[in-house]
Amino acid sequence: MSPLQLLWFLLLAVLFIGFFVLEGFDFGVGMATRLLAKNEGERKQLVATIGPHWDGNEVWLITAGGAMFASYPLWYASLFSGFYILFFLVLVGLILRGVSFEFAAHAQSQRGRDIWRWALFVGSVIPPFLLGMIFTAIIQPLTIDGKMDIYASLGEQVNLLTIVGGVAVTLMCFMHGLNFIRLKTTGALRLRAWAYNRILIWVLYAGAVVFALLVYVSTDFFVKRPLSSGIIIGLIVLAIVCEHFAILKDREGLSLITSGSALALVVILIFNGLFPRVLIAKEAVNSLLITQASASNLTLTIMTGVTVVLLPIALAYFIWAYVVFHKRVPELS
Amino acid sequence: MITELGRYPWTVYGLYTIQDAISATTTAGQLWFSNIAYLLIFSLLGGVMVYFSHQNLVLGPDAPGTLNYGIDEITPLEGQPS
Repeated sequence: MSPLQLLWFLLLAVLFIGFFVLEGFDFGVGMATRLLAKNEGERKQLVATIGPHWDGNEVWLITAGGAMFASYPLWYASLFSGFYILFFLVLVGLILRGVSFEFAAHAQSQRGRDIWRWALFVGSVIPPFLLGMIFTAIIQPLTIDGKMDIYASLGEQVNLLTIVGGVAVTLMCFMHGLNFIRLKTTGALRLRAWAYNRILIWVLYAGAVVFALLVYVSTDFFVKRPLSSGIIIGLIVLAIVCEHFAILKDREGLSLITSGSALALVVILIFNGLFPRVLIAKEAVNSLLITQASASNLTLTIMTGVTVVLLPIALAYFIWAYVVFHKRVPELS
Repeated sequence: MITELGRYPWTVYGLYTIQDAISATTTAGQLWFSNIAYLLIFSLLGGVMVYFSHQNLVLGPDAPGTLNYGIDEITPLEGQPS
């Protein structure tokens, strides 16, 4: 395995971590428009917190997919074709969410606004749930033939671990969004978000235990990489404990950092368990390895050069957008 | 459309045809589903766009409730007539 192949495997993990940590709270706020907000004024307040950020955050997913296409085209091809319908439904959810902001602002009647707020809610639940399903499906052994085509049956795409994974990612995104709401709003909404998280953290503890058990049973993580998987799961539990502490002490920034860390650590768990494969097959000889799936050295070199130049610029204006909009959003009438 | 119809039967000219590039794992049923779903979603969004365009044309740029309402209000300086 060349250093560039390893570098781009790690960069893909970084991009997916960035996506879940950033867009995670956008999904959570979108879910909160239906689950937390009680009237249109509160919904407007919630949408105002993520208004400047949601589009840029979604770009992290597109970049992750694009980087996978460019640096690991065989992984991209097998994965996106094998899970075609699930990825398509993720896209439908993202489309619904994306237009809902624009159309709810244009709508003149309350009924019109309600329709597009429902689109926002549905479009905020579907992507994290299905992406959680996909990520927990690829860590289990899949039916892959000798030509690297995935023929994933329904049972390989929808089973206990994938459903729990989808629910877990959706719950973590919702709590992450509630922590973001606590940080970015004032008034009744902030207090209600705080109350919700004080209760939901217990659900998260239970979910983490179930998830760890299912990973132990359904995947080969604890056979091939027992030490690192065990450490990462321990860190996930630690992040949840720190989040609980931060919620109890009403430390909003720390809550957001710890809930984001928990999401990041789940992605790290997945990428750590996959390594050095990118797809796991039922017959080990058919598993897709990093060295098999990667693009040529020239491609990876060009990609690295372009990234080194453009990524700092992109990160700079990305952070600038958050700095400009750092003030809390007050209650809107 | 010109590029996509013109490229047939090549995906990469001279090297790789569309027949070679078809994914073996996506069934015709999945492709029908996604194509029809795309058609419906984008027809819906196009219809909504036409509806809102008409609404904004009728209301005009500065009507209350539109997005630009209130942006161009000139606030008078202290002591000046408005």
